[in-house]
Amino acid sequence: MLSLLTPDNLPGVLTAIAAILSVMSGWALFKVRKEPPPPGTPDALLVALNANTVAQKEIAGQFGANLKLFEETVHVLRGLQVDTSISREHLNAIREKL
Amino acid sequence: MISFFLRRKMELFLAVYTLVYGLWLMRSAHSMDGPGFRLITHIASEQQWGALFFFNGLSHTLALLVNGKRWLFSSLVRWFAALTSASVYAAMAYLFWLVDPDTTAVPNYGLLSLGACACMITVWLDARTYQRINYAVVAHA
Repeated sequence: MLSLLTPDNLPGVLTAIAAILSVMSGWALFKVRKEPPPPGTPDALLVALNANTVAQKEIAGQFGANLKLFEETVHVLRGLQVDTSISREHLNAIREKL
Repeated sequence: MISFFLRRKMELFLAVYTLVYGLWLMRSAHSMDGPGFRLITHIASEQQWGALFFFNGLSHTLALLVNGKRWLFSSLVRWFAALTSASVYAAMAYLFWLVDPDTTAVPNYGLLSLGACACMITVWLDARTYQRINYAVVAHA
């Protein structure tokens, strides 16, 4: 079988084999293009790291929104505290009158 | 989403380089008309060399993109493509050396061949890694 290979036809044979492998690789790539990488592999680690980074950014954005909400809540609570002290003074004045 | 095998940048560069080299030779621009290519064009025409480089580079690039999802098939294709690249670049370096030992093509193609040999080793390492992962997943399933 190997005697059929000569220096003249060797480039052609290699080209034919490479062309067949190209078609097979292209078909395999088409079939796996939407598959996630197998778990435990370095590719899966990269994908998971990227997803984790995106999630961490979303969490950081959520924390910022929570902080603003807490600041507004404290402001409202301080206003309530002032109203409560004024109400207590009014009630004391009414009790003394009575 | 396709996971690009960014850990093998050198191999990806070699594969794309071979593919572009083949496309350049297939342009029919008489790139191999120089005297240094005398022995090379005696073996095959410029278009034949271009087709060989193009399909070899294409199969290598596509196998790199598939990689871990079909690790056995892609490892075999990558290894064969790297072996072909190493052999052809080494042969070209030798043929250039026979015509003119002082030409810069000798170290250029020689180093490309060495790079392809290194890629054959990295392919073997990747296949071993994926085989171990596959064994661990099956054993603990």
